[in-house]
Amino acid sequence: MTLGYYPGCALKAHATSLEYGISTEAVLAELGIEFQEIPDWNCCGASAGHMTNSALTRALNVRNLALAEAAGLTDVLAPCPLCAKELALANNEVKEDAELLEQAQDAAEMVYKCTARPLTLVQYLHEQRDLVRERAAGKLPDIPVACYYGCLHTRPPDAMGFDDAEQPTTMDELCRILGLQPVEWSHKTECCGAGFTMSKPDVVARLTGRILGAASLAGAEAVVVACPMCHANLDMRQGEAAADAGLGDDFHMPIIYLAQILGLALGIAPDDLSLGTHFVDPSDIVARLRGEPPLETPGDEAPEEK
Amino acid sequence: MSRIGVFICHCGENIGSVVDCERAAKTLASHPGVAYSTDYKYMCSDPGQNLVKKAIADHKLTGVVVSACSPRMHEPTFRNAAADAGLNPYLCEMANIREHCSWVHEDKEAATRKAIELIRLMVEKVKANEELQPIHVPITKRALVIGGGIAGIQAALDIANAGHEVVLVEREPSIGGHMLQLSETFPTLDCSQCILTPRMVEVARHPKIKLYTYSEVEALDGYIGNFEVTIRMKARSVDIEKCTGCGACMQKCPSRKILSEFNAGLLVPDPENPKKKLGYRTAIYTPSPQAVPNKPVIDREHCLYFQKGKCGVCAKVCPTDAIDYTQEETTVTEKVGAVVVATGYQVWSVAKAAEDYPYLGYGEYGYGTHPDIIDGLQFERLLSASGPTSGRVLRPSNGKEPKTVVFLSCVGSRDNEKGFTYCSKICCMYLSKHAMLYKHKVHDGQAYNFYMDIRAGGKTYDEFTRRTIEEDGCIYLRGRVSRIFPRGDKLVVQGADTLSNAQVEVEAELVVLATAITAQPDAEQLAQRLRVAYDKDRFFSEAHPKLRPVESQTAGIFFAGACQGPKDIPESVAQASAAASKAAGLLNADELEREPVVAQVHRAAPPVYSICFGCFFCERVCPYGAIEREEIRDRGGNLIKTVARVNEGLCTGCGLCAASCRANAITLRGFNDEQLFAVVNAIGEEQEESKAATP
Repeated sequence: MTLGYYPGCALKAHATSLEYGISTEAVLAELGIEFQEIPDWNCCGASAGHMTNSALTRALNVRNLALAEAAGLTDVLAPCPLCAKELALANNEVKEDAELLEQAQDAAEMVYKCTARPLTLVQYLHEQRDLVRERAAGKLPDIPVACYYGCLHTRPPDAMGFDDAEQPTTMDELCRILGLQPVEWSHKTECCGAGFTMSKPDVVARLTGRILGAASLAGAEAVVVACPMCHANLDMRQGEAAADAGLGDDFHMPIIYLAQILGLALGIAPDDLSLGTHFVDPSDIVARLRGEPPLETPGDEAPEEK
Repeated sequence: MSRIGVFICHCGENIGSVVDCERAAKTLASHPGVAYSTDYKYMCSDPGQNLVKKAIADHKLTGVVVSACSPRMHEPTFRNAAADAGLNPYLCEMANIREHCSWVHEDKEAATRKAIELIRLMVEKVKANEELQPIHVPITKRALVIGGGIAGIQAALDIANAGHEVVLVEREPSIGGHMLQLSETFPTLDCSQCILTPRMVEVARHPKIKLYTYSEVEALDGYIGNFEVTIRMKARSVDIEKCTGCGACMQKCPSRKILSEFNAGLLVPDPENPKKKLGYRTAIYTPSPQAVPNKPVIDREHCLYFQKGKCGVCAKVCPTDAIDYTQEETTVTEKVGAVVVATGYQVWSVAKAAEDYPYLGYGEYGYGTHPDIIDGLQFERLLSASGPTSGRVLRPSNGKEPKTVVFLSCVGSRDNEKGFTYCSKICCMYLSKHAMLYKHKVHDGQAYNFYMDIRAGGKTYDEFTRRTIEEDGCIYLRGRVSRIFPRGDKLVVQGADTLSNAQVEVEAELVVLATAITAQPDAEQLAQRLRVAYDKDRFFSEAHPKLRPVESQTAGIFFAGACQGPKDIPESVAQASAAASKAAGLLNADELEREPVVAQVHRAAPPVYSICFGCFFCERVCPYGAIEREEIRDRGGNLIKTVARVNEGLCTGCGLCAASCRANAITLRGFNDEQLFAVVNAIGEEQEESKAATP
C-alpha cells in the first residue's frame, strides 16, 4: 500500500529543515517504500493556528487527512512531529465527536471518513523495524549517540498513543539495530525551547545547554533527532548554550536527523542526505559512521588482575 | 379474597414534600383487594411499625405493602414487624417511592400519580405472593483465614480466642506479611517487629489454630457454613517435623547471592568491606530471623542441587536429617464454615510499565536504573534493625551516609494519567515517619518531601507530621517532581514548588519513591476462585461501603486488611477484628437461617419427573456456582435423566437462571411468573384510576 507523505512547511516550503525532507525521501526510496505526497496539502496550523483557533486548526488538518483519504492513502507519514501531533489530535477529535467532524468538514469543504492514520517518522520506522533490520542491521559502528525525542514525539500521550511518554525507547531501539550505541540519558524529552528561539533566545540557550550538557555527560558523540524544531535549536545555539551551561565555549556536538543516520546505514552518499548543511559540521562523525578513516578496532580486553 | 394493607411513609420531607401521600392513601383505599390504607410521617419509627402491626391484627390483613424507601434500606424492618404480628414476612413488600420517585422528580402532580402506580403494582404482586419459610443449613464450626499478615493474624487469633478452630493459610514460608518488614510504626514509633512477633508466636502456639505456611488456596467449594477449601502445600524440601530451626543449613549454603524478598531486593555495600554487598539471602532460607515457623524452605530455582544436581551441603550439615530433596507438592482439603480473606497488598513496581498498563510507569524517575533511587519498602529495610545495614541509613551505590534525602509522595497514586486514581492513604504518614527517623539517625542530614497534600487524618497523625516539619526540619515542598537524573555521584531532582511558584532543583544522595499501594497481582484470580467481587483496581469489594464494610457479597466470606483497599496497621487490625467477630458470630449458631428467596427447579411425579431437560445453561450463567446436577433414576436404578438442582445454601436469588431457562423449568421463589405478570398486567390500568381520584 502506498504511504501517504505529508512534508509540512519545514521540510518543503521553506528551507529551515530541507535536509530532513531530502533525507527522508531518499531513505524511503532506498527502502523501496512507495510513497505519494498528499496532493494540494496545506499548513497544519502548528504554533500560530492552534494557539488562536482550535476549530481552524482542526479544519486545516481534517482537510489534509481528507485529501489523503481521497487519494486512497491510509498511513500518512508526517516526519515533523508538530505536524504529526496536529494531525493526530484533529483525527482523534473528529473520530470521537460527530459534531466536530461536521464542523471541520464544512470548513474544509470536504468529506472525511476518518480512515487516515497519521504517523511520525520514528513511529513509522519502528513499525517497519523488520525491514530496517533486514536492510541495515549492524551497518554502523558502535558509536555512542544520544537519541533526543523532544516534547512532541510521545505527547500528548492520549493523542500519540506511542511509546512511554516520559522515557521513550523506540528511537534508541532503531539506532541499536543499525549498530550504534544509544546512551542511557536523562533529557530525552526535555523542552528545547521550540518557537521561543525567536522571541526568547536566552531561554532557548539555557534549555538547549541543559540538553546538550546531559548528552555529553552521558558520553554521546552525536545527538540523533527527528524534529525540525529540535534540530534547529540544538544545532544553532551551541555557543551560547555552552556558555550558559558553564561548559566551555562550544559543545561541537553534531546534531543529525534519524533519516540521515538511517540513510548512511543504507549506504546513501552524504550529499544525497544533505549532510553538508548543518551549523555544527558533522563531517568527522559522518566519516567515522561511514567507516572512513578506518575505525579503530576495539582494544584487547585488559588483562585480568591476578 | 385478599385483604391488603397499604402504609405510605412521608419519610419526613423526603417523600412528603413531593408526593401527596394523603391523596395516595385515599386513592389506594378504594383499590380492589385493599382492606386498609393510611399514611404516616415516619413509618420506620416505633409508632410507625406499631401502626403496621396493629392494622394487621385489627383488619386481619393477608398482605402488606409499605411504600417508602428502597427495600435495601428497610425491607427487613417491615418484614420483621409483619412477622411480629403473625403474618408470614414474605407477604410484606415495599414500594419504593423515595429513590424511584420523590428524590428524582419535581412535578408534584406527576410524582404523586407515579407513586400511586408504583404502590398499586406492588399491591397486585402481594396478592399473588405466597408464604415462604426460611431455609436452614448446618454450620461447620471452623474458619479459614487466607493470608498471614497482621490482618490475617489478628483475625485468626480473635476467632480462635472466641473458641472456634481456625485454618490459617500463608503463601510465604513465614507468617508476618509486610508488617514484619517495617522499621518503626507511626505515629508512636513502636518497633514493628517488637509488637508483631509476639502475635506471630501466639498464632503458632495456639491450640485452635492450624497453620499452613508456604501454601496457597487452590479452590473454595461449597457455601456459607459449609465450605470445602483445597490447599496446595508447596514443596518445602525440608521436613517441618524433623527440623529444629538450628540454621546450620543456611550458614553453610553456598548459594549466597540471591536477592531477598524480605529485603525488598535492596542491596547495600558493606561499609567495612565495600566490595561485599549486604542484603542477599541463601537458597535455603527463612525470610527473617523471627520467621514463624522458624523452619527454612529451599528456593529450588536458585539451589545448586536442584539446578546442577550437585552440592547437597544442607543435607550433610543438617543434624536431624530434615532436608528432603524429594518432597513434592501436596494438596489437602479442609472443611470450614466461614472465610476471612486477608491477602494484603503489593507496592507498585514503577521500574517499567506493567504489561496490562501500556505506556505507564515513571521512567523519568529512574527507578531500577540507579541504585540510590529506592521505594518506600526498601527504605523501611534500610531503617530496620533487621535490615541489611542493621538500621544504618547508607547509600546503596557506595555505602556512605546520604546527607540529603528526597522523598516523593504519590508516585502512581492519585494520578489519572499514569497510575491509579485512588489515594494510597499510608504514604503521607510513612514518608513523614521516614524523614523523622532519617533525621534521628543522620543528625546533619536534610530531608525534603515533595507532596500533593498532606493527608494525615487519624488520631495524633497530624501532630506527627507537624513534628517532622517543625522539630526535625524536613522541608516540605508542595509540588510534583518532573525528572530525576544523575549528575556526578548525586541525583538531581527537578520539581516544582507550587506554593512559592518556583522551579526547584535538589541535589540528593538518596531518593525514596512512595509508590502506590496496589492489589496483589493475582487478586483477580483469587477473587474468581472465591466468587467475591472486586473493583477496577482489583481490590475486593465489600457488600456495602458504609454499613457492611467487612462482608463480601458472597455469604460467609469476609475481608480484612489491605486486600479491600489501602490501609495502615491500626485500620487493618480493626477491620480484622470486625471480620473475626462477624465470622465468630456466624459460627456461634448451630444452624443457619437463610432467605427463602432462592431459585427452584421444577419437579413432578413420574413420568414427567421434571420439565428440565438438562441443557445446563443455568450452570453457565450462575455467578455463584449454585447449580448442581441431579440424576433421576427409576426404582431399578436406571438413569432416566440428569437435571439441574439449586443448592439453596449458595443461591442468592439473583434470578439469572430463571430468566435464562429455555424450558421455563426454574422459578425464583418470591418472584415467580404469576407475581411478575400480576405487576406487568396492572401497568396502565392505573391511569384511569388516578385520573378519577384527581380533585
